[in-house]
Amino acid sequence: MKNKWFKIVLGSMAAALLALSLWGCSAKTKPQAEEEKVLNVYGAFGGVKEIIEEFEKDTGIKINYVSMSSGEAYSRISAERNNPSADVWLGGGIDAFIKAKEEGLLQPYQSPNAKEINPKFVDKDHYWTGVNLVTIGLIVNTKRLENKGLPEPKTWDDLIKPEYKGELIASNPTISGTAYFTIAGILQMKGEQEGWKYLDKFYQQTPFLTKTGSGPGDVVTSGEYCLGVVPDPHNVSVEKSGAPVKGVYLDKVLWWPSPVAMIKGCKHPKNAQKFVDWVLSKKGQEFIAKVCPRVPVRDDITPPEFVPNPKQLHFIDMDFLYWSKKRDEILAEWSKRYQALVTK
Amino acid sequence: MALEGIRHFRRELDLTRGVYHLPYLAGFLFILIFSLYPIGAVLVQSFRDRRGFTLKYYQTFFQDPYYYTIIFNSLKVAFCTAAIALTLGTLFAVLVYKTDLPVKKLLQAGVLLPMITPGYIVALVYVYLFGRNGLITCRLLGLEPNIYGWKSVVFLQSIGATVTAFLLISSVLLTIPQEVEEAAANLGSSEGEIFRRVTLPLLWPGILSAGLLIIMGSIADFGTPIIVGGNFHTLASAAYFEIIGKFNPNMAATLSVFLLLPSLILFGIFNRLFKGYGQKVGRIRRFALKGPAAFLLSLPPLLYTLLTFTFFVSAFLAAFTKYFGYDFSLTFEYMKVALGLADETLDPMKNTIIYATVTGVAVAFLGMAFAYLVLRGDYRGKKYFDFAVLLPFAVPGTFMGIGYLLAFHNPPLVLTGTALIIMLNCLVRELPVAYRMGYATLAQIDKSIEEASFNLGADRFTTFYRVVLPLMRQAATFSMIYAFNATAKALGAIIFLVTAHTKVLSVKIFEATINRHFGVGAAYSLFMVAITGIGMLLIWRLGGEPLGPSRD
Repeated sequence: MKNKWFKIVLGSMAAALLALSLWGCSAKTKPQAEEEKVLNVYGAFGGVKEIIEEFEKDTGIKINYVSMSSGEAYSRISAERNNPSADVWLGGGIDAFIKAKEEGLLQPYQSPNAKEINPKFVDKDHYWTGVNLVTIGLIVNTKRLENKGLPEPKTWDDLIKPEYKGELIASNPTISGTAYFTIAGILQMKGEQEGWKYLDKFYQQTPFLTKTGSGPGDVVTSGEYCLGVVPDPHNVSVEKSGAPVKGVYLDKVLWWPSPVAMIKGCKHPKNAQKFVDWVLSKKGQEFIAKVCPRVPVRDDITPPEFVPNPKQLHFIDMDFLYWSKKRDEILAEWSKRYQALVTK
Repeated sequence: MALEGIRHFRRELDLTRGVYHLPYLAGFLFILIFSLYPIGAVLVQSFRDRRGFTLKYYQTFFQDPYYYTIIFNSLKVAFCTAAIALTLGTLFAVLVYKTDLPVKKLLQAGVLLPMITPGYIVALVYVYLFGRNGLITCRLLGLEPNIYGWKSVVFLQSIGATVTAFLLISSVLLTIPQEVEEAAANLGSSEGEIFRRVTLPLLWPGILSAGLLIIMGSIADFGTPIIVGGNFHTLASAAYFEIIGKFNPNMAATLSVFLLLPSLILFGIFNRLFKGYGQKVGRIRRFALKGPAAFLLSLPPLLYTLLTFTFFVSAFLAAFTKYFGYDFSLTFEYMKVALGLADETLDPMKNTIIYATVTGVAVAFLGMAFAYLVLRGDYRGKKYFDFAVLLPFAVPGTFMGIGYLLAFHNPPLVLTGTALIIMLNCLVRELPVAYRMGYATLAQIDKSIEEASFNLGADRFTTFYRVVLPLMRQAATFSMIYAFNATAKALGAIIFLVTAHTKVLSVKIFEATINRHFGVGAAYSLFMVAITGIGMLLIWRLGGEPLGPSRD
């Protein structure tokens, strides 16, 4: 009995390994003269499945995509730089794209549709182009606020009022790109000097800082804290999930673009260009606004319900290129001021 | 390290005995290519910047006291986790396999359930039970604790580590023959004395091996500190964010070097303490645990079992109720969506099953073979080989994934895009547990059985297949279960290696949560529960269930 078992195991293992190594050899594709109707995409983007289906329907190009966070996408593209597996990188932190441009991982492409887009959302050398805008606001647990008898905050200055002490959660800007640009946005909105003074009070309110940009949303949803500073808080209002939470935008909206880019040396450059053209086209933008509700980059499209409208709300004049250049300096100052506070 | 190993091999390799060295050489080459090379590919980056060689990252490390704090944090968590998991693991192993308590089947299920419960469900339930708004803490006791800190990291890590401890200690325990303990009983020892002075020392190799693995694994874990750490950082979480948040792979590599140092030191210490007892294999003796002792000893495992059952049931609640934690009204919506996407999930499910099966079988076999090579071999490089096999367990998943990309994306050996690279990655990462299980078990088995086989004219290969491997059946079964489950759930490393054609279920779950479809993600998770649960039961069947009638 025992011997039989081990023979079966050994036999199946040998067979499996043999089959797999053969499979592995045959999987290496031969170079092709004509570009296949295939496109490989990395990234993290809401509604990516629907976007891909719609694109395939329109162009007949089959998309293979793998979802990963922007840090993972950056690391993977960087490690594959001599022989890229992906053609297009869609969505994620603007900081990752800026860094990828610096490191020579991206391929510039000026889409004919890019002229319809506000130059504020487009890289000046066309290494990346904004697809829609990430906006910063609050996720609010209405039940907890009610239990505590607290009003809903309306402005950024409300957040530093004493009644919210211990109930406000944000993420750590030294490790989260989202959190860094939030801090940068505050410094932009208030001016550097006043901005740091504001932050001094802000971090008196937060019992701890989460390690990811979405972390504050989780602890507010679980009812542990009242307010969390997060990207795209309107998502929870769109979902109507059943949790007593809603998205709130304050008096001023912080924002930055979520881009699309081509990978340098990619294997399907023509398909990649078609994809970039498609996501920036009026049709593509209308479709994306539906499945990934955010502020569109084209003026000829109205933002969907719950999404903040730049025509109604005050979007600050965010110079994210300046802030991404100053990142090391700002974070050094941040660590000097608050490191002790957040490592206790 | 590698060079020295090769030199040792050269010295040992004379022509007359050459054929006997072939397995050693093959094993060494395998580890060299699929473990040391990718890990090395990551670590050399700590000495590099755009211009070439540099030590500036090390300078940064030594100048900033922050890094000393997080080394200390990592060690604190690792030792606390190990203490809790080893205590619970030993208790469970003894109660399940060495007593006739009526609840032992329940306890066995309880200790194994976390293996098939999705990790994020465990974290979620933990918050909803013990958090600031938790069912027990807030609504029952009226407390509002801030749970985000090191204690929560220890708590959640202990749940995974207890399974490792239980499996390792059990595989050793099941080789302890009744004669030794009976002899002690005949000499007038009480049951407590037998346990303390006979059984526990015999379990020592298992406990030590489990301890080493748990500490290494805890130091390398970056996920738990991210979810429940709050302001608490460890070396692994800091290294993870150097690469994922700051795009600084060089500093990340530097931190990884310091991540490996404690493991290296511990490895040295543990090997000094490690002592095998040559045993003749026989039947198991059961303790007749009765009265208050039985109650007291089974209380912590029972409470723990209650907890793991809660976690397990919650996996179903999350998939079949509207919003876990708030709205528990029944819904089939998520399951319908998940099943409606069947054409999309079929391939990932098939991949998951194939990868987990192949990896499970290969890990169990290689783990036992490597244990045999190291313990029974008489060559001098084996100490290095020993550590090289264990090393991947001390490396955070993300780094192992990036290492594989760096090592196998360009010639001479191009494997990226294949299914093979995913399985090799999982194999190398799960091998340490199997290897240590085999090692601890084999250390307890007397050499004389093998010598008898040699004397009867069998060669080394025959002896290994026909004599040693059957003796290690228990360890092989346990390690196959472990590797099957770990591969099915793996995500951190393989997110760097999957393509659209080699996607697995864990990646689909990740994609669902990234798109904020939590209910659908929970429904996918149930598919995972089914795969891992069925896999575990099947392997158990094949390998022979030690609680079954054949052994009693």
